[in-house]
Amino acid sequence: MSSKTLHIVEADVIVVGSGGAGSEAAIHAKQNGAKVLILDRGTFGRSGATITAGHTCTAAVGDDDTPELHFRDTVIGGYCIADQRLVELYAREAPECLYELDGWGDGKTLRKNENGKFDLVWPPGGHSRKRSVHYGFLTGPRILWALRREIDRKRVPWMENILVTSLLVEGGRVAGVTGLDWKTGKFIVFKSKAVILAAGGFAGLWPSRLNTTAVECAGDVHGMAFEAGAEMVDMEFVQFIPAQVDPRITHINVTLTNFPAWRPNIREHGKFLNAEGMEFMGKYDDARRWNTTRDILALAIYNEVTAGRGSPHGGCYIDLTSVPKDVIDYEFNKFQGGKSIPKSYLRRCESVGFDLSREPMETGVKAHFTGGGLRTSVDMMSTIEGLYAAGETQGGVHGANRLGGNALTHVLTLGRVAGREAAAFASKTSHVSFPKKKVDAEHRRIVRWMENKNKTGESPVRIRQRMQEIMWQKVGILRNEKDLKAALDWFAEAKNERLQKARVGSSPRTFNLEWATAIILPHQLDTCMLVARAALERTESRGNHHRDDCQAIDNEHWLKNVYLWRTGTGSVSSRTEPVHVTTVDPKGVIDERPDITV
Amino acid sequence: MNDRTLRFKVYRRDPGARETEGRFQEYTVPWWEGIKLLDGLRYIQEEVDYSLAVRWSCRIEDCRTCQMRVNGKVVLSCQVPLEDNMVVEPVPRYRLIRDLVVEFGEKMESSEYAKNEFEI
Repeated sequence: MSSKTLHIVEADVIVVGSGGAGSEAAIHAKQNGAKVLILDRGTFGRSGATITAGHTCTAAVGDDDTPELHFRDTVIGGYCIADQRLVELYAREAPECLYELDGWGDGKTLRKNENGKFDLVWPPGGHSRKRSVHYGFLTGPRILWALRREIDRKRVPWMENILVTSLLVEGGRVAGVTGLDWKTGKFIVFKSKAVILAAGGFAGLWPSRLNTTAVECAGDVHGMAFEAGAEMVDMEFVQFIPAQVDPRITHINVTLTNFPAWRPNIREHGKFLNAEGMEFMGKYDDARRWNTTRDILALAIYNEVTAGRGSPHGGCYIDLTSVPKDVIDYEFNKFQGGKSIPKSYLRRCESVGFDLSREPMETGVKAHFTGGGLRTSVDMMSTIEGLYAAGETQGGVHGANRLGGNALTHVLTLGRVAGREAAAFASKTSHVSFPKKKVDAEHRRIVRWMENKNKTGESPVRIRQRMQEIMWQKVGILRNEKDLKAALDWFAEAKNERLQKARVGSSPRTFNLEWATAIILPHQLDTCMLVARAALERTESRGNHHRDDCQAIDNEHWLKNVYLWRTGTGSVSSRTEPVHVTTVDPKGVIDERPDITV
Repeated sequence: MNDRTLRFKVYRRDPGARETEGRFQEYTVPWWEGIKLLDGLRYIQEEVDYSLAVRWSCRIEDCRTCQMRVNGKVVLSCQVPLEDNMVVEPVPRYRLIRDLVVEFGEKMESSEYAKNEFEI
C-alpha cells in the first residue's frame, strides 16, 4: 500500500472500547491533558458488556463498611489469588469514583435514600456488608448514560464502527493500532504514544446461546495483545453463571436468576429445583444453599443437567411460586422505581406470557465474566511499554472467582486509573517511529480476504461456530487434561490449516460480518489457546476453574498465578508466580468463606 | 421433528457499491419456540447468506443497536417475535451503511428509545 493512500489519525492516547472502562479512561486521560481518541467497533456508548450489567455496583460507602473490608471480602471470594495490589487500589478508589459518576448525572445517576445517600442493597454472596449501589435493574445503562454526558461535556472525540485489527509495537513500545472502518471498508492507522485496551472480556469465545456478554466482547483483543508480546494472567478463570434459558424471554439474562439468592425475603420462599422437582443445592453446599458463591451454584446446575435432570432448554428451575405476591411485586416491579412500570421485569415477563408467580423459570449456565487478561502493574500498564489495559480486558483483579457487583466497580475504578496514568505517560514521551512494514503486512492480511485467492473453501463463520462449540465442550465449566489437549490441537490446526484454506465469499466492503470474522478469528483462536493452556497448567480446582481430573483445591502448591506469553519463535511459554500479597495472608484466611448475615 | 418455517422479507441495499435502489429479499428460516426477529436475521447471516448486514450487541433489550423497522414500525429486533410475512427495513432517519445497518452516530442519543430509556 503506498503511503499516499494510507489514512493516518494521530492522538496521544487511543482508547479501544467505549464501555465503562473505556469511557472512564478517556474522560480521565482528557482531564489530565492528553489528546484522546476513543475507538469502538460497534455503536459508540452502546457497545460492550457494561450495558448488560443489570443491578449492582459495589463500593464501601455504608456506615458500617470500609474499603479494607471490601478488599478482604474480594480477596477471600477470589480464593486468595487476586493481585492484592489491584484489589486494594480499586476498593479504596471505588467510593470516590461512584460519587464522581453520580455528579456527572447531576446527582441522579444512582438511587438515593431519603437522607440523600446511596440506597444500598445486599450484594450477591460473598460480601460481608450491604454495599451495592444501584439504579434498579438498569444500573449498567444508567452508568453509561452518565459517562456519555461527561464525554459530551468534555468533548472527548470518538469514532464508532472501527474494528481494531492489530497493535503496533516498535522496539518494545506501543506505536498505535490499525483499524478497519466498517462504514467505508477503509484501512486506518492510528498513531499514538499510549493505547488503552478496554475492549471487554472473552466470554464471546463460547457459543452465543451460552454466553451472556455483548457481541463486541469477542475475545480477539486478548489474542491481539498476546501476539504483540503482552503477558497474560489468570486466563483459566472464566465465570460461568446461572442465566435464564427460556427462549421466550430476552430481557432477563442473569440478574433475576441470581437475584433471589441474595434477597432475604425471596430466599426464604424460593427454591432451586431440578427437572425431577427436587431441591438440589443441599447436595453441593448444605450450609449456604443458594446463598453460595456463583461458581458453586453454576457447577451444581451444570451437574444436574449433565446427570439428565435438566429442563427442556438445558437448565434447572428457579421456583418463586411460593413467594408472596406482594414480595414479587415489590422486588420485580416497584423496586425499579417507576409508576406504571411497563418495562419492569414483571411486566415484560407478562408480555411474553410468562408468569413468574405461577411458573418456575428455566435457569442454565452461561459464560459470563472472564477474570483473565493482560497482566498489568498498579498503573495499569501491561508488559509492553505504553500499552495499558482496563476493565475486563485486564487480568488478575478478581482471582479465581469474581464476587457479584464487583465487575462494574473494577472496570470504572481501574479505568480511571488507566486514563490518568496513560495521560501522564504520554506527556513525558514522544511518538515512536512508525512501523511501516508492520502496517503494510497487516493491510495485506486484511485485504487478502477480499481478493478471493481461494476459489473454494469453507467460510470463517463455520470455523468460528465450531471453535465456540469446542470451547463449550472441552474448555467449559468442567475440564480435564485429555479434553484440554484435544482442544489445543484443534485450535492450532484451525489457525494454521483450516483458516489458511478458508474463503470469504461475500463481497461487500461495508459492514461485512464474514470479512470481520476472518480478520479477528486468528486472534480469537489464540485467546482460546491461552484459556486452554492456562487451564491445563493449573492442576487443581479453584473457584471458576474446575478439573474433574484434579478435583481438590491445592493451597500448598497453587496460591499462584499462571502467566503466559509469546516467545520469539511464536510459541507460547508459561510460568507460575506466587500471588501478590499486601495485607491479607492467604494462609490465614483460605479456609474462611464469608457467611452473609442478613 | 419440527418442520415449521417462517418466511419474511428483508431490505437489501449496498450504497458502497453505488446501489441507489433497495430491494426486498425473501428468506425462509426454521421456526422454534420463542424465536425473535433478531434470531431469524442471525440465522440467515450464519447459515444462509453470510453477506447480510445486521447489527446487534447486547441481545437483552438494553443497547437498542438492533432497532429496525418492521411493517412500518420501529422495534427492537431482539424483542419482537419473528412472524410470517414480516417486512424488515433499516430504521429511518439515519444514514444507511448497508442492508439493515445504519450509522447511529450522535443521533443515537436522541432516538425514540433513548428518550424513554429510564422512564420505568
